[in-house]
Amino acid sequence: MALDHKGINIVANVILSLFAAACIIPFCLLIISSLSSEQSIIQNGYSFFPEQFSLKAYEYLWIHKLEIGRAYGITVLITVIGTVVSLAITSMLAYPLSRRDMPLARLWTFLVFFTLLFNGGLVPTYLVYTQTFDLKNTIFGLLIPGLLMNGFNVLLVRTFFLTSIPPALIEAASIDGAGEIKIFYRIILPLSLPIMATIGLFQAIAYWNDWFNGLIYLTDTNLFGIQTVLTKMIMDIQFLTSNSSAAGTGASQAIAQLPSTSVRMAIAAIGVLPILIAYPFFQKYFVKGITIGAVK
Amino acid sequence: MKKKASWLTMLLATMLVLAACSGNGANGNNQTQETNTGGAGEGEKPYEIVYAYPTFESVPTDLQLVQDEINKITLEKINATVKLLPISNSAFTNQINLMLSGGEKLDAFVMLGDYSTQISRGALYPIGNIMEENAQATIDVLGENYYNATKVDGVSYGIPSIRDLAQDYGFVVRKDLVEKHNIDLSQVTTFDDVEIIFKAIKENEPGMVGAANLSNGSILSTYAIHDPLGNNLGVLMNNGLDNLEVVNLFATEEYEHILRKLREWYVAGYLLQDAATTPEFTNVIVKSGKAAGWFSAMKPGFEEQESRNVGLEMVAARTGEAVAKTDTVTNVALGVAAKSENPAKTLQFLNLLYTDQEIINLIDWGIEGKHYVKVEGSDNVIKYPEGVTGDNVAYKNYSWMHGNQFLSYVFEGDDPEVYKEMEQFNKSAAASKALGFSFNGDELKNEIAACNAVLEQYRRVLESGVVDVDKTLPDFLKKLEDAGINKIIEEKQKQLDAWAAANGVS
Amino acid sequence: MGNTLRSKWKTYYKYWPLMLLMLPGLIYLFINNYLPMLGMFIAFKNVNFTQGIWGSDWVGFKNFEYLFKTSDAYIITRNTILYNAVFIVLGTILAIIFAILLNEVRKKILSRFYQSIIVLPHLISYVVVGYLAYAAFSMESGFMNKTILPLFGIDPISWYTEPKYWPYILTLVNLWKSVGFSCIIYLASIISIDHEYYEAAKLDGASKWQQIRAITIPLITPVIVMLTLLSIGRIFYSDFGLFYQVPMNTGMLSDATNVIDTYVYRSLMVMGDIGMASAAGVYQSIVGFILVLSANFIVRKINRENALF
Repeated sequence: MALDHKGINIVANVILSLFAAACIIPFCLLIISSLSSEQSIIQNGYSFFPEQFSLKAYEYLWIHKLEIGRAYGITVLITVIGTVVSLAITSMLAYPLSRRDMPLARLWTFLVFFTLLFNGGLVPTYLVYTQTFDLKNTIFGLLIPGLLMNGFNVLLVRTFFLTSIPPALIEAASIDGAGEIKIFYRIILPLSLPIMATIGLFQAIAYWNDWFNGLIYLTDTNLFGIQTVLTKMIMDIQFLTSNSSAAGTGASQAIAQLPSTSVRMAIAAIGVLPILIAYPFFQKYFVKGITIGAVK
Repeated sequence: MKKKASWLTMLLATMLVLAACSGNGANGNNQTQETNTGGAGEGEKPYEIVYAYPTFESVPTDLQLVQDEINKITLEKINATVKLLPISNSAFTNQINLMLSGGEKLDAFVMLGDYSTQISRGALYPIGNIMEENAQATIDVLGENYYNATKVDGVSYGIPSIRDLAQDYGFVVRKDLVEKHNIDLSQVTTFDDVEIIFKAIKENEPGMVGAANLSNGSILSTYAIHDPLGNNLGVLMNNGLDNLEVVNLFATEEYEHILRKLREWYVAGYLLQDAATTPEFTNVIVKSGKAAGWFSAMKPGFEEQESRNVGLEMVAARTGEAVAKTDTVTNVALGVAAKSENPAKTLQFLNLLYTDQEIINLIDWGIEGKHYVKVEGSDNVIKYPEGVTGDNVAYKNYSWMHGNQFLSYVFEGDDPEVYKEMEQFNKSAAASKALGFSFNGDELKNEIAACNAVLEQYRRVLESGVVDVDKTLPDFLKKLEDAGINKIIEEKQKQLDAWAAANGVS
Repeated sequence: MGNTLRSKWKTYYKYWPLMLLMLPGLIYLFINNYLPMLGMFIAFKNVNFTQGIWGSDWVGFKNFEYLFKTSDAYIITRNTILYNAVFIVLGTILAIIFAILLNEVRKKILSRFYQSIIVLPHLISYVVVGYLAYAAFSMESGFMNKTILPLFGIDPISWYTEPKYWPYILTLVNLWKSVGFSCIIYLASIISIDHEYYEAAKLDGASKWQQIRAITIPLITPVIVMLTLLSIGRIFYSDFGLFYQVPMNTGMLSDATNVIDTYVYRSLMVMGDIGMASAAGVYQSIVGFILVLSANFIVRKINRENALF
């Protein structure tokens, strides 16, 4: 059976649109629930057609607009800096590992791989970063621990270099008198835009979604990023509503009015939307059809 | 090959050096702590006390202002300053553990329910040894009885905040429903009696069930018929009022009776069908009209508090007398960090939190005129100043946490006498025979961990009525036995007997 | 000896620019991963803050005992491995299929649309996924019971008390959440394949299917092997959120949902013992390490080029 171009194009579109639907429908449910009145959620469950719409959840978040706005700012800053630095050091480490002639490349690769399996756990990591390096309550606490470079990405990029860059190309450049570093950024990097965009996206998502570093390395809430603020908000609402006696008098009045069910969804929505907006930026580099020949 | 070896040696050497550095950091504070004693010596440099506590909202913007005001008083009274360190509750326990393991500066901190865990981790300074010299007044306001409840092997490691130290138990329900359907709450005096309420609801309110489960827990999350003796693994029945026989709660007739009753109610449609899984919050479920009330632990002022939380007026039927247990006392406690450089001074500060009304209200409510004003004609009832609301007030805290709540002002809307009632409640509450006993489970950590996993797995479904008792309860008991609950009970009984002998309890 | 050393030194010298490139990354790994790894000894200590972490008592393997104390130890281990195995196999196959299909979509704008949409699930936390799943499977108000089952005339099912459905539900949720993401990785490799290969194949009259089998698959095999090896290394870990949040932490489902990570969480959530938590991590790592070494050994036997190290 020979599938022609047209045929496979149709098959692809059908299957992918089904999967895309499966991905987007729950997301729509999330958005709609964040706009539903609490009453209708509790009575009828989450529904695509709530009996009653309500903006209460977003009104609640609006009260915290200063905190949320600042947190957005910090997260954007961290995400941009983190992603750029991360792309640089990841590709710089991965390239030599991919070179077949590089001495000890397998040992180094193994050392990178090893970090994916073994880790010291939270306490030792915390001790290293706060005792040896004084990262507590600094913005670097959000940027560096655990996130800056990930062995997984290094190995991914290494494999990519290994398979899509012909050694002959490097040799040719070398004969032309280009130094290693020049070869790296003049030839290797431009050829690797798709993988760079991929791990750039991964890194950006990792930074954007991280709330853990904030809760561990910061006590100063002014430095919290958006996900830390949102996670903290969900956990606090949960704690206060399940331990009603814990809330102060003023606070418990607020709880009675709090649309807790829809706030959860609203929080998830405002946490995700910005990264969707940034997505096309990475997609630009998913360009098909760079041929090695064109660069040569 | 040789080259490879030298690389590795270098790597190892660097690792060891760096490790040694961080090691020093962790141990560095060891020596200093014993030499310092309290007392505001003339010309002595004021000691800075770092006081960490959990917060459930953002850190208040005016924290520094309030702290400065507090320091004016503490400098004068105990020659010390305080650094308030509110930490988001979601990260609190983690952060405290990390700070302690890193040897970071930390002098005092609040414990919510993890008093005994922190003791066994060695996180707390044994303040009992220096209590009389530095904080006798605190023992006086707390009362010998409740102070003794904090002792482990004869030494106290922390002070409970003065709030409701005992608990009674019952069912809280919407007042409008009680009136509408002429439910006689005075008829409800036992667990089984609650059925009266359920029946009336079921018959008259379509679409509504009798009881909601507690948020992320079972119907019985806080309702108790036993003294849990620390961890529910080996308990005293009847809230510890009868005797000192440690039993397996889950294997008792009383517990089985409750489960069967719940199952009966579940099948009859008196309970939420989704009770074991619903992620919604109790107050929200009741507010929405899906359930009429819930079982809960209670205290004076409980109805008012829950009326505010639900947004509808609530009334409660109590099914048992108030009892104080070690767990209800140490549930919220303040302690001095084991590595504090000046435990005596820190304890003097805690003492102020129990005796100095000015400091208590500063830390609880902020600065008068700025964050609150007194209601006219009253000296202990306060409200927000003009234009300030609970949402935008620049300082917020929790009075049940910081020392003596009974010296704290009452917010407008609460009964002005609520703390007097609570004091009376604490005084008149019955005490479990094991009040003051703390179980040390260090030797049985593995059994306790395995049993906790079993409890987590079974309690919520069983105590929500969603599963068949005949089928599931035997499984539950079998797994608990496999996990070693009998070993824990045996050890607990041994420790309890020794404690009783030493303290003359029988 | 001296001679070989000198010639070796010469080769190293030739590569100093590359060494320099590697330096920042290696330093980071050293600080972020290798230094804290020394802290694994905590797993063998009874941590006591008064004595300090370094001065706490050694307890040998005592912190590991609770992992095997439960009568469920077998179920937990079985679940962890089986689920991961299924996830690896199905996840890889689906991701590759989707990547190939994505590459075949001719309208740029559609292709970009799909690419954006299929990573959406990855961006939603498991807590929220749990609520969404609850919206589907809730006994009283879930749309499975309310809308879908009545359509086929089936009686409502009490999803959260019947373990038998959960292997399928969890697998589905996992695939839903992860396939889009790994698909992007494969897509990046596929679009980097030199076009000349396909041109040549077309000239030879190769069908689309033949092109995929003879060019695409072999050329992305190293990526497949690498990703699979990495997953094997983590086979003893499981996604806590998936197994805890999605089934709403229901005890009734534990036969189908209890894995090592949820067991550890349930055991330690009250005690929060650092040593015991650390012990679980060490146990998971070591098993994963042994498995991945063996897998890598096998790969190396077949094709040295594809092995990780």
